[in-house]
Amino acid sequence: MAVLGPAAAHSERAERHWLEDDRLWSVLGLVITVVLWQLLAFGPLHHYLPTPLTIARTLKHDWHLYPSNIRATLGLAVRGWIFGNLAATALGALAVGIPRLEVVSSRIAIATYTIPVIAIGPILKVTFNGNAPYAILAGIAVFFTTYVGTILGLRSADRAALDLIRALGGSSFTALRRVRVRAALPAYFAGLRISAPAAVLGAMVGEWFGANKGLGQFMVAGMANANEARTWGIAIVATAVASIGYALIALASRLLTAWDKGSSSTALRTQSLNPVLNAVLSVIVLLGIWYGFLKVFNVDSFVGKTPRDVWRYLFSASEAGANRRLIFNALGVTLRDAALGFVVGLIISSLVAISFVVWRPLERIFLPLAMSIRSVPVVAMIPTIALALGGRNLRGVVIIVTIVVFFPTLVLVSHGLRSVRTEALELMAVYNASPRAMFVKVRLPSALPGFFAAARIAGPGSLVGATLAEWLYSGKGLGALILQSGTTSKYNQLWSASVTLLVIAIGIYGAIGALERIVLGRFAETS
Amino acid sequence: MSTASGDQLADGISITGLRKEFRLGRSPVLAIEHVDVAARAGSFTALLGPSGCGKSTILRMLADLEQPSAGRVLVHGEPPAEARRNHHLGIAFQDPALLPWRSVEANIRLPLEVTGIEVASSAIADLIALVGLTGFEKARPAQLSGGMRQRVAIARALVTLPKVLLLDEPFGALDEMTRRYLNIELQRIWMERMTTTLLVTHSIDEAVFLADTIVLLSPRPSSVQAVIELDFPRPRTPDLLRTPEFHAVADHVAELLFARGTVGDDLPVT
Repeated sequence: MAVLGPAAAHSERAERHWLEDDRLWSVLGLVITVVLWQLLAFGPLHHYLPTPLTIARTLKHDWHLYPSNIRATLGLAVRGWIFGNLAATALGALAVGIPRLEVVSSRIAIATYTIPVIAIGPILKVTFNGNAPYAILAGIAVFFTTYVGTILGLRSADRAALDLIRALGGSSFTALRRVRVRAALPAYFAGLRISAPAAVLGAMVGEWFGANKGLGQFMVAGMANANEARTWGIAIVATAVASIGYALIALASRLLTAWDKGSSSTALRTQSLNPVLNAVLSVIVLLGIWYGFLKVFNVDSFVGKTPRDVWRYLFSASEAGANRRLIFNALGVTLRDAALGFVVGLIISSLVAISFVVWRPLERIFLPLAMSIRSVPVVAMIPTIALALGGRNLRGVVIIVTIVVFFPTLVLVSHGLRSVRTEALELMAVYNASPRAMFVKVRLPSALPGFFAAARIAGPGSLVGATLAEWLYSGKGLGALILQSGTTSKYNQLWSASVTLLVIAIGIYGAIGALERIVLGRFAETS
Repeated sequence: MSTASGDQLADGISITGLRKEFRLGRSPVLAIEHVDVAARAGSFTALLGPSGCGKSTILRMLADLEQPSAGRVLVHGEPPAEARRNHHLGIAFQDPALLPWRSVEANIRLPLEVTGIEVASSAIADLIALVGLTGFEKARPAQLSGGMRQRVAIARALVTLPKVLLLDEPFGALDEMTRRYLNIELQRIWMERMTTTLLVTHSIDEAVFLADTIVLLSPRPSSVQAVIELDFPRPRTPDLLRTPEFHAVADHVAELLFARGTVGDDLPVT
């Protein structure tokens, strides 16, 4: 069948875009943000925010302190980036080659994505020496996206192209070399691109666990000294470092995949297993990794606790009841704050996304900014945010979680609201539908997939944010308890609390996934 | 041959002196130079022309989705904006644009919900029967074939009892066999209701088979190249497709289309 005239389609679309340069709008957004910040920081928020000018002056004054810290963080980030990506690529390629393996490998990948840093940071810290724990955290931070990129990439080869190679008598190796690897590059690079800021984030958060140099350490020290302007300066420099990494990989990917028309999705569709089976499998894989970790690294039994030790601590020891109370009380605090921040963050970002749709200029001014902040490691900015909140705020943890949740979900929900088919909207226009009817009947339901994609990211994010904030800010909850156990050498308590947190995190991710499946079964286009 | 727009001739669709410019970057592009169309109420008109000649744009101006740069457009004596406000229009696109979360029934009901028009409670069941989808009332779009989805779209376009039905290549994405079959169905549906219909198509066979009048457009900047009246008796049957008369008309239309030699890469497909 003939295709609709592409020329006609172009000219119609071109009409709407003739005066528009997106760069102009994003610069406008940046200017408005900085000016607004300056005004707020000078006026009502002067207790909370240093002005951009003060930050710039402090940055200039501190400049001699930066090179060594940047070098330290980069060293960790690059090491983590290389090894994390190698491992993720290898595992992803294996999973594509041996599909049965995927049941296990995808769970490992999801675990690396779901694990709150705080559940493994202290454990790594007591197991390894020197800088290794921090580099490992950077490696874990990049694992998931690269793994997903590898799998999506290797599977994205065009069936017809593979058939062609076969028909010409090529072996599966020829197919791999000539088609699969090439076709894999766009999705693979999409994963790699996100991994650069992620490695910086992982390294910085890792440094909080006791590195003696690096941007993360510098930031925590700045927080301890209540040097607000300095922590903001570090946040800006860290963002710049992360963005340069992102840009370099983006450039490489543009050079290597110039033929690609830009279709890069990063959604991993795990096989649709029933949720119970799914959870059981995850627990088995987790136990395997746990035992494997203790065996492979030959961890001293005083420090490294086995599942049996944790079971004894929580359930069979004489003081198990008191232990449970200690951990579950802390967990209750964490869950409450994480859930509140999660809900508030999602609601606010949805409202902002809706206002973007209602008033388009708002979107054009601020969405580019929100998108660039999305690739910024917001979690690594927790000390900065914590310091801005000061010691006065009872709901500080909730606010931090809200901020951590807000940016990634804003972008996804806005994309969701815009993913409506033009024809559906035009149809409504022909029937003279009210804006409200258009919104309720068409836009909102078609945004649901984007909303759930956001929730799936925000769920683990809110736990990570809450536990880190508890450690650095409130000193209450599971995050604080885990850190305390580490520093006071209560290793049974440390492992039990960490495992509890991990299980909860995986459970939440699974629950959101299950809910998503039900809703998407009804609302997504599956044709 | 350009039609004079006597008011009686144009009580269905009336387009006079239509002109449309687009801006491509900074330079204006003339898409439609001068188009006149006159169609009686209750008639079936096909707009035929090479890809990119602006025939969809004309339809979109009738639906008040785009505005003419110059000229006058009326549907049943009303400007499109008014017709739209009065819910006198029905439309179907090449993409069926069904809402994936609604069943067949609920998709067809959508225009009623939006416009607040009330119809007899049996109307939707009747329409489903009319487009041959009885038994699929509760099915989701994802469970239907392309042809079935397009039928839902046509039933949806008819549910408000519109005065004018605008069809923008509704069968353009379907295979030849399904398309033929749906052409026959569309004629049957149209004959039951006699709604003034404008069909945009790039299929010569489809236009000749369905229309009372074919308006042939030239490549961009488009103008009316010819108006061809067809008086094959109705209902037209598949047998018509094999008659020498049908082929004579189709060949004549093809000749006119290709005569200009400016069609370029975007050849029309039969």
